[in-house]
Amino acid sequence: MSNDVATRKEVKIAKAGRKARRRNHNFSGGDRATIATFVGVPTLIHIFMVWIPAICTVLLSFTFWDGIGGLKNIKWVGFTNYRQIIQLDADFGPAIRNNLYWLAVFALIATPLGILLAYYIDKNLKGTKFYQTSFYMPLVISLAVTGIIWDYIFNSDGLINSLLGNNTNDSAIDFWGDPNKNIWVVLFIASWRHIGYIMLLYLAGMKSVDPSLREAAAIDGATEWSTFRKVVVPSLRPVNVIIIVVTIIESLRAFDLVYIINRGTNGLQLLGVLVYDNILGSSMRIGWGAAYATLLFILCIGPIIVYLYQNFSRED
Amino acid sequence: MSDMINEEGVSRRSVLKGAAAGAAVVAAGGLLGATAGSTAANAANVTASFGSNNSNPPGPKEDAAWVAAAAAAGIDVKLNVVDHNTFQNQINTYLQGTPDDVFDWFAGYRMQFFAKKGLLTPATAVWAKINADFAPGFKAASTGLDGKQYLVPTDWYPWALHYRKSVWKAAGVNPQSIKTFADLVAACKVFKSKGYIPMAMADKGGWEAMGTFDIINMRTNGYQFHVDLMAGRAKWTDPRVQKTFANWKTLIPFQNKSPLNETDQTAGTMVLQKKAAMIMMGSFTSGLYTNKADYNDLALIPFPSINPAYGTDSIDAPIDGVLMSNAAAKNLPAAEALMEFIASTKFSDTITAIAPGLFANKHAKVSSDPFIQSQVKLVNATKHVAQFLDRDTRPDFAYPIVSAAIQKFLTGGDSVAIAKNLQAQWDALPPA
Amino acid sequence: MVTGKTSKVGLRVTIGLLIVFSIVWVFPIIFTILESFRPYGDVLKYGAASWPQHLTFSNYINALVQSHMWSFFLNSVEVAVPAVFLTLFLASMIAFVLSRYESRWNVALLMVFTAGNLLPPQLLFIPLFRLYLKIPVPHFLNENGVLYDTQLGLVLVHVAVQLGFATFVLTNFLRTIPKEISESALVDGANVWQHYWKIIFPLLRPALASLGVLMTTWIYNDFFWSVVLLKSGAKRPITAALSNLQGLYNTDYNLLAAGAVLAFLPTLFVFFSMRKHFVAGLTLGSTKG
Repeated sequence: MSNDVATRKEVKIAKAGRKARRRNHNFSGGDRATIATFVGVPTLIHIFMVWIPAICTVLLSFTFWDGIGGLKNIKWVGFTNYRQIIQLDADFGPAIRNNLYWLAVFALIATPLGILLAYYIDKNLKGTKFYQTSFYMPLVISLAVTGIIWDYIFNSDGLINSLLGNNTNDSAIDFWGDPNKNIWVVLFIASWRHIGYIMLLYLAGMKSVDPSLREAAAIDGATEWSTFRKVVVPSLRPVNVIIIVVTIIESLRAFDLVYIINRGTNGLQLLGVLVYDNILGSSMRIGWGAAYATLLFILCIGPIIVYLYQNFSRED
Repeated sequence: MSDMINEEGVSRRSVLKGAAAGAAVVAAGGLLGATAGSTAANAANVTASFGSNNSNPPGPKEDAAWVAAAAAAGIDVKLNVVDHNTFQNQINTYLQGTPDDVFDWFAGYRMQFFAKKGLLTPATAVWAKINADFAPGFKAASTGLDGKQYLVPTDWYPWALHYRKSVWKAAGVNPQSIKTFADLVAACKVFKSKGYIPMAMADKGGWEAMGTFDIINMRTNGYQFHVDLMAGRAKWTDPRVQKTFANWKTLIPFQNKSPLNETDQTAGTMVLQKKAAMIMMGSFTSGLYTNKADYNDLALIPFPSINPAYGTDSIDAPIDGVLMSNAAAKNLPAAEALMEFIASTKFSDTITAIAPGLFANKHAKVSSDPFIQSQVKLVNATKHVAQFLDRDTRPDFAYPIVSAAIQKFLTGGDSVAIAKNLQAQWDALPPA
Repeated sequence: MVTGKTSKVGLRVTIGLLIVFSIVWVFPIIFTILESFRPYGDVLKYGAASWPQHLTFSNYINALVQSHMWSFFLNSVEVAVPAVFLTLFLASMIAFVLSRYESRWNVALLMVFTAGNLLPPQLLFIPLFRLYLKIPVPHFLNENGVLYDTQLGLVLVHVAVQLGFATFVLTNFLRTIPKEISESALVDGANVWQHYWKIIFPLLRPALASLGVLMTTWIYNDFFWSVVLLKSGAKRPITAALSNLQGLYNTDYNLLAAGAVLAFLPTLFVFFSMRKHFVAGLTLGSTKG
């Protein structure tokens, strides 16, 4: 791969640079202050506002707290919250199930479809700009607005029912209210966005594949599709990993879309919503909310580590 | 308490020719919560902030009107309007954060809960001045567990079967003939045969169908059982709860198929648009009837008797009002002046001019329009007034526990399993 | 481009499928725009699937005048613009150090930023809410004197979260730029600040532009933080304010559609005028170098 050559060159340059710098490592006081500021300010902001709150939330998941009356009212209860949400919370099961559906649909349908579209778009067929624009457009529209856009299309008196001639209340398909249907509608809409995202990432990755590799495969008599499968896809390992990570993380973090549709109740429960509900909603069961958040955290750790490994394994 | 409200609070109301059209004088309201005190930029005015959840029509008009009236009365109000659902959902963080001095809320368990947690400022000083304007029942409903008053009640509204007279006439159903549950079911069958949705049902927000649960429960098992159940003295596994669910089940075939996709507004619109024959809803559903002719066509009847032992002796008729947050302690004179203003007839008369209703102040003008009069009649004829499921029980139980349970029931869930889970979740609640 | 192997029929089928897919993709957007110009009464009378009989601007006028969409839009801009500039500035500084001055902490630090970017926002909310109630701000920013319910608070949280992604992307970008360029600066005796500002920052510009476009749309589209960190209805950015509109016009879909169009129009505009940057921004993070 040509990238590897470049990387190796970079490493050499970096090594040379390091030697050079070691010689000049006597920074002036001003330089030291500049570097300290450059690193310190962003790091402090990020750690103080992202990592410390995250750790606090994990700690809170082992407590009872209704959020009122300051920190002294916090009571340590061990794993009680976890036991309770698993045993008692009627939303726990549906939320786990829906997050898994989300993951399954993204991983098995939306992501492969995005890759497939990238493959076709990459052929630079007639009208390619139009196709690309169409697929990217949902990406710039917020999920909250997305919910509103699709609301009317699937509503009982909306477009689809109207086209099907379901004009009476009894014949109309209740896409939003029926807990066995609404999650699939939501997943369709979420895929509408996700497919474009994956396509975009993959397309960029494919552009970086050395054309000579494909040409070689073509000369060997491979069909385009098998070239794609056997040459292009394997050479895109970094992009593949990113796509897997994006797919998993996005499936776990899902929130806005269901929240705008029905606040994530009735068939649309998700872990992310339960965090919000238990902390901000009427219940003030901060322990439960924190426990859900921690579960989410634990589920995210795996993909995060894979991602880090992918990005940093080649460094010293 | 309810008895007293009926005797003292409502029946003595004087009468005013209600003019919903009177709203026109008021500039279109500020969702934006702009400082509306500019109409009377009097340097002597005190300033208090007000958190309003009155975001749905005709709320913005009402807010703009009374804020102007308050400015004229010497109080500049800094209005902060948050959309209704967000406000209700986030009340806890709102109160723990930087709440406005005075804010929209209501009587019931949750008010007492906030008071107990020290999130409110007592309004006892205000009550000392306004005592004579309110029936003792309202005072009782405004009182926390510590015996101090917190709420200044503004208005209340009954939950009942709301319908359009013209629709019932066209279907040939006489509203006055609906005396028993069997009558109601029979009427539903007629409406269904004529192509109407007999009963519009909503529960997208998780609270709309609680009114139906309450009324069927009170009709089936009586007011005391409702109170006991809400307070945790009666158990959800009690067979009486199953009777309530069983009765409701009889009505489900007559509801629209998509209750969980409907809000109070969309379901109310089904009645407005003559697609549905009736709706079990609070009388605020009249807010949808912006056209005078439509409004005059709107009427209500009490939910019919189920168990003769209880007849129609109880209803949900929640009391809305305003509370002072603990932030008001830093701005007490202004906040108390605002509370006092809201308690006065200056406030209620301003609102009545836009949207007539039942006001708590006994000297408030009462609109003579037949719809308001029918509400007065209904509450007068009722012995027990309940607040509403989500106001009568613990907030962390009402949402998301009961709300999800009722949604599950409406989508064909097994009522025995639902009740069992409800009790298990009640038992697991942390001590209040 | 490799050509050949696909048959003519296959090509036609492919193009046909792409066209069908594309149309399915844009349809909801076009439909929403179309509905936003129809009066509610029209739809009520003829049904959702009917051909429009009348077109009107009244939904837009209503959305703009009654619902103050314009000021909600300004709120969004007031949050997104400073947040994006601050994030890019801070991230470019740390990325400069991480890519130009070797230290054994560099990789660890970069991992902290990268992983932080992937954390679910719900995990951060409770402690941040408490923290925001404790941090004092001058009264002209918030008369309650705390960071909670201020646009500054919203800006800060966006900066903190987005720093993760931006640092990661910019560090990777800088690593692809040969270090000889820096060497020459060092030979000239430039100090660290000059090295950053005169040499590195100009090189970063294309990456900053792409990242900036991308982050503007992200922050503009944020829903979660603006709902949880702001109390005042009037301070809400446009995405969160749409829920106002939902309550107000629950049954009037056409008005809601106009509100939705007003909310997504700016992002569509940014997208069409700066599509290259948008795409480049999204892919900066995905392809190493």
